[in-house]
Amino acid sequence: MAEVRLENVCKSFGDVKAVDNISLHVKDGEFIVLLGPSGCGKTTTLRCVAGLEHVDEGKIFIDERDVTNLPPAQRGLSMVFQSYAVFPHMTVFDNIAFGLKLRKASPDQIKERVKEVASLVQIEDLIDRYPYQLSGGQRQRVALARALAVEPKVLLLDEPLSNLDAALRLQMRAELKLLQKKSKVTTLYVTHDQVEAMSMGDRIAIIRNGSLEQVDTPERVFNHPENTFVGNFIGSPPMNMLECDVVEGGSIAIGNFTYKLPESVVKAIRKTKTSRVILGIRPKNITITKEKRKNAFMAKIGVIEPIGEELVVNLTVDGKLLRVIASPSQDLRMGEKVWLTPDTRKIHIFDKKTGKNLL
Amino acid sequence: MSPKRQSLLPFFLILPAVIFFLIFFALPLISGIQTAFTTPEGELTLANFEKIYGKSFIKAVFNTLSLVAIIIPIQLALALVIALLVNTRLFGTSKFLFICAIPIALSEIVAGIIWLSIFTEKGYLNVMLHTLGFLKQPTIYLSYEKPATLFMTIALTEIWRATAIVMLIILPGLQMIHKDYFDTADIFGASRLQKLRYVTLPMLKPTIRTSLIIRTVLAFQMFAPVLVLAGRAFPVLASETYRIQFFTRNIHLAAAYALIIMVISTAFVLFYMRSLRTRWSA
Amino acid sequence: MKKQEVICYIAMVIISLFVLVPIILITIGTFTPRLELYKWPRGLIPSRFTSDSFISFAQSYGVMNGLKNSITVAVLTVIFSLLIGIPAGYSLSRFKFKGKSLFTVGVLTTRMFPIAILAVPLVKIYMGLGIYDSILGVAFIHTIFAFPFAILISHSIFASVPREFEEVAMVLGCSRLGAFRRTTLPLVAPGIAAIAIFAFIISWNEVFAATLLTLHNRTLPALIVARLEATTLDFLFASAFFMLVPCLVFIFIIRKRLLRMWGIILR
Repeated sequence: MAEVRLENVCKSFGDVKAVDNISLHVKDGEFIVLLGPSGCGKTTTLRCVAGLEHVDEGKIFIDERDVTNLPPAQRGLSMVFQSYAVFPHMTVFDNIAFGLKLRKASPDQIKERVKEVASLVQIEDLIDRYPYQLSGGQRQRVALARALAVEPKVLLLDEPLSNLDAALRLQMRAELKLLQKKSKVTTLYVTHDQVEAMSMGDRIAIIRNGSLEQVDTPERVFNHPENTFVGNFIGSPPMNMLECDVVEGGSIAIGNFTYKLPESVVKAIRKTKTSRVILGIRPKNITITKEKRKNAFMAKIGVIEPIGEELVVNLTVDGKLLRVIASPSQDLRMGEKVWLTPDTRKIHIFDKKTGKNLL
Repeated sequence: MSPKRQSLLPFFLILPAVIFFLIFFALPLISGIQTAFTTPEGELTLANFEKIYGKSFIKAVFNTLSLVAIIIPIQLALALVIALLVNTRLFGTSKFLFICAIPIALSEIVAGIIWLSIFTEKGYLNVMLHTLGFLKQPTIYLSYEKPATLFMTIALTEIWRATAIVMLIILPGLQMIHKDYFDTADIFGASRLQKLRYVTLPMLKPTIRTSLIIRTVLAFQMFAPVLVLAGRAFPVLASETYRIQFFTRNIHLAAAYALIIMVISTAFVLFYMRSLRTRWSA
Repeated sequence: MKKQEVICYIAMVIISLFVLVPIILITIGTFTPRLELYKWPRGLIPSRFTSDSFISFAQSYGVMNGLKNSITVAVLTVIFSLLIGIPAGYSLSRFKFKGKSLFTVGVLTTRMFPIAILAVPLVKIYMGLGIYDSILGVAFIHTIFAFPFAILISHSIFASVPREFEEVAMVLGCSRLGAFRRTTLPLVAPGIAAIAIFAFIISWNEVFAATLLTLHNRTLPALIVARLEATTLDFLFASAFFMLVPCLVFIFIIRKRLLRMWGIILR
């Protein structure tokens, strides 16, 4: 049971700033996901918390204890790696017992505890095997059991599911979340998979180029992205982004059309005195119609991708690509000209210059 | 461990290697050059080179270079054949590979003596020829009157001993070439020879370069087989260096000789590096 | 069997014979009665097999001492090469640091020089240091032969062990050294043993430097060179056979790793 606090943590490799002034407060028992594209610094951040990388600047606290300069062994945490790092020269039992032995637990205690966590992750039958006799998913469980056996204050998980096949990943996702809720161990989870992040995290910390872009609940991150990056990164297909000029009378220009904005939005734009904005709208929140509607704009249909129950329709507006999710019951054809009506309640307006959400 | 000490750890770990390298590689190299250009009294001079320059020096250079010229192409070809055979992965190729690799564990001097047992006057070659009825009286092969025969026996010994080194460098290089390239060539209808010519050899170029460098450098320190099979009848650069060091006891002359070997072998290395450059790989 | 396969097998048999027959011949020669070696005509197979040559070789003056020297030098070479090579190989495989590529290039350049020739200037340096004609001096130059191999091979062995093993161990409570000892070391032990054998063979076989750097404390190969001009065939055959056997045993032990080890050196 512990809090983790990062204060202005910086870490560079040569000229590359892997972690650039990150401050983050992880609450006791919280499941926080560090999410970002590959190479964004999320894993480095995790390794700094673990003590495997030494921070250049800033401080790291675990339960008010400054651990910035402590070696990994003295931080009271556990870690599961993407590659699992299950020791090939030890049986499953010895792997799980590894940390306990280092803590000088008695053989009886070790036996009992290993049994306990092995049954927790459902590998009690594999206890005498060697890792080469295990499947990827089983190794993953061993790594997890090994990490949990020492009853860590903080559990660090570095893309633990990315080496599993799709079906197993789904199953482990649910199990892992349940396990974390039961054990209430403070967890930092690194992934580049936004679906994983959305489904597992209590909160999501989105990182880009070593900096935090937004830290929020999955719901907030999806519905209230703080900037264009978050808006774009979360959700699939990604949010549509249209660059528009602000025109007189509370409207924006989309190609040859003017799109009237609600009064609250207009107010927000006025406050910033910006003249160029980005209209963000999710593919689900646009309706396609064949006949003209009020406050709609025209687009030309490009490629149509059926994805099961829905269609992803690619359209061009004023030379820019837009994706809309439509129902197959709509008889849409490539090359057809149609009218698009965004759901005014679901739109986002970002400042072109700063990328910040103005709403 | 404090961050400062942790960042010094990698340097600390290579330090013994660096120190050792400086004392036992760089220092003798420098000292060797210095010794070659000085008299015993410490004066700068070219006299050492003048003194060693003579008939026997020219002979040693000639002999060494001709050995290099004969041995290395044959070894390269033979090594390539062995590597290609191993790469067929037919039944028994792993045993074949092991047999071919055995000589790598053998000393120069052992190889020399082994072939001495074959080419000496009452050696196994004559014994076999006699048994087969080709010969009544033993032929003498290893005599200073027959430099060509001496040359061939030494070359044969070196081919026998050191082809393994070349092969063990070529084979992994060959195995690193992805099967897809050959499959692609197959689809375009390339014959075996065409595949060798247009796929295998060009892709092996960096490997061949490495093996040539290592093998040539080793050839310049070849010493024991020459001594065992020919004694002083077939001087090469390394054996002459040894002779000068031991019989004239003049370290300055020997150092001059050593320096010449270094220069020639470095020239070869540079030549290989330039002429076998590839634009697509280091 | 296809025609091509037949050709391949014929080629393999011929090449195998080319390699093996001389080794068999020297073995026969070693166990042939001494006088028969000088008889003419003589048959390929001797009238009887005897270990006379072998015993008289073992008993001749200086041989036992040479053997002792050879083993001591080889063991020292193994120890030095491992002590120098393993930390450096580990460092290369685990850390990025300034000068890393310079260091690697430095290691690689050693194979672009005929190192044995360095024995000549070393004579002078050793005399200054007082280690001319000493076991230690020979072991040092043999280490120069062996340690680049040790570095390159151990580098790749360590690189094949994921660093996460050590990292997990450190997170779970080990120090850096403890993590190395408990996770990486057991996994690389066979590879390290192969390096040791390799270094041993390099030293055991080396002739030129050993000959130049010793007078009385000769290793076996140096001893044989020194006796070349005044010795008998049986002494030479027995000595070759004697030098050969441990190498054959060793290469048999590391046969599975041979290819990988040399594959590494080429890069």
